[in-house]
Amino acid sequence: MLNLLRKRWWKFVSVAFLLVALVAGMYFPLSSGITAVGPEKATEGQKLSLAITTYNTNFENNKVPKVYLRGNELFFCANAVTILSPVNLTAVFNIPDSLGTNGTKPFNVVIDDAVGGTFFLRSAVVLAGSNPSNGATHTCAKDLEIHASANMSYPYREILYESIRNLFYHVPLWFAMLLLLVCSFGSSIAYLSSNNMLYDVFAKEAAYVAMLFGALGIVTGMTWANFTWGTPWTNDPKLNGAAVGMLTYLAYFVLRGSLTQRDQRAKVSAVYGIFAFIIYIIFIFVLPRLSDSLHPGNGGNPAFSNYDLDNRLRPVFYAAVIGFTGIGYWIMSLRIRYTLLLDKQQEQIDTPYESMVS
Amino acid sequence: MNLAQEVRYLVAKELLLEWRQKYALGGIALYVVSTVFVIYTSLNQGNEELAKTTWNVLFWITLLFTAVNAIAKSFTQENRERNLYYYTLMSPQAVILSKMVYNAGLMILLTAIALAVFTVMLGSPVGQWAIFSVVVLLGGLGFSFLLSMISAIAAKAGNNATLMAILSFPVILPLILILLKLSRFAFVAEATFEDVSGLLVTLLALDAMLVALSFILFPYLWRD
Repeated sequence: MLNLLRKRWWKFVSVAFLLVALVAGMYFPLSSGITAVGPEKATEGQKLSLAITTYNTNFENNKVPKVYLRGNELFFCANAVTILSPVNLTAVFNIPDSLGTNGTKPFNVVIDDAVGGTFFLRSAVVLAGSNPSNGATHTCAKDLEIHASANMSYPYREILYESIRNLFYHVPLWFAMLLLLVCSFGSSIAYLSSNNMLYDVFAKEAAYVAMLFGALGIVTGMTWANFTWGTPWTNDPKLNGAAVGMLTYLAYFVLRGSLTQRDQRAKVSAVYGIFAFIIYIIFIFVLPRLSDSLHPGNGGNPAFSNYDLDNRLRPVFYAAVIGFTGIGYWIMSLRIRYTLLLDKQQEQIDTPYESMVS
Repeated sequence: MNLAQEVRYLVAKELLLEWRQKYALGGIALYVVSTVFVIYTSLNQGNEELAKTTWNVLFWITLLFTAVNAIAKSFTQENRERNLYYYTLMSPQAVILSKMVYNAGLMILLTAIALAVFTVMLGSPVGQWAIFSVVVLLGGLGFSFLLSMISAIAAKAGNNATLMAILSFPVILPLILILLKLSRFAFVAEATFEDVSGLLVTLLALDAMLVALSFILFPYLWRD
């Protein structure tokens, strides 16, 4: 048992990381957020009674949260907050009669809750005004301190909502796929420079498992896109890149299948593998520069590091990356051993006489 | 014999072979004309104006299929034994370079034919002929470089048309996308070379990289 642990420790590690990612990814709730605010329009000088519906909150009458309206430098506090249910409250504002805006101005609704932290809905209320400003920019002390939720939770984001958890499954699958493709590419180079058949098996199986992960990545991605973008497939460079990668390596397998002689198959598919991989890498790095993407980090969308992958998501995300990559490597090594055994068996069938003599 | 000399001899041999089998060149030229004619008659059903995007896509797709068909035979028109004989005489780099040079010439000819037929039959949305000519030239070169290498790979696997297509289409996509984008620029009469310099450099770099990759990888392929 100890020996097994010593030799195969990485298998245990990757399974543990994957389990942690699966469980933690589903276990922790989403942070609190505001789902709806009404009415959405008001004018200056009005007494505004806002009905606010929230998500994942647990308001109690003895702990009334603070509610604010915020639009650039303007900052108003609610005069009275009434809790109707754990996820419903009414906030009454006395809007000053001199907003200093000629026209309309969007305001964010901000809730500061002791348990759920500070959360807000962007441009939830539009205030109309025409009177010049009297210099007053807030109706109460600016005592708003942004603090995080008291308990471990994932960020609440509009459009994404609960599907933010897919970050732990969809993205690491692509990471693992790319790593395996790099593995396959490296093995192809190693084969051409050494003519060692083992590298050919390595290259083939790495590409095979990469395709498995790629298919899972596409399925998880399509589910996610259907929820967030409203369609399972859009003309997005990342999606096209994924599809082209799949097509390239499926062609690679067809090429392997149409060659019967082992040495020739290894050589020709290694050449195609190297050729296709380099062009594929250019494709996924060049193409996004030619058009916009809906994915984070492209076309003006913030990248992971900005705010999408914040510190609450990071540990689980990295655990999933390590877990999926480790599992991919494990599946690959099992397939390699299986292929090598088949080859050995085939050799024995092919040369019964020689094996009998020796 | 140095590399340049070897390439010159091999290209001369390709030209001679093509000259002796004139029907092959005529065949592929006819392929372009027939394809455009099919497009023309199909589009003419509704007498609608052809959108620039549609023209662009149809033009490059026609060229893609023509290129695949024209270049697929590169390594199979001569028999194995004769190829083996060339390999004993010449370096593998010279063999692949000569194929690429010859195919590039062939592609330039075919692109010119396709462009002429397209313009005559379907009109042309091109506003900046200088840019479009450069794009078409570099596109034709890219097609011929990439497909020469793919046809060498496909030839090893019996060279059926399906294999040639499925091996080349995914890898040719980056090239096609850059070409489509560049052509769109050339449709605008006010476009200048400065507008497209970035994309042109990308395209040139892609072409150069295809040559370099083939140059490095082909020697592994031919040794049987």
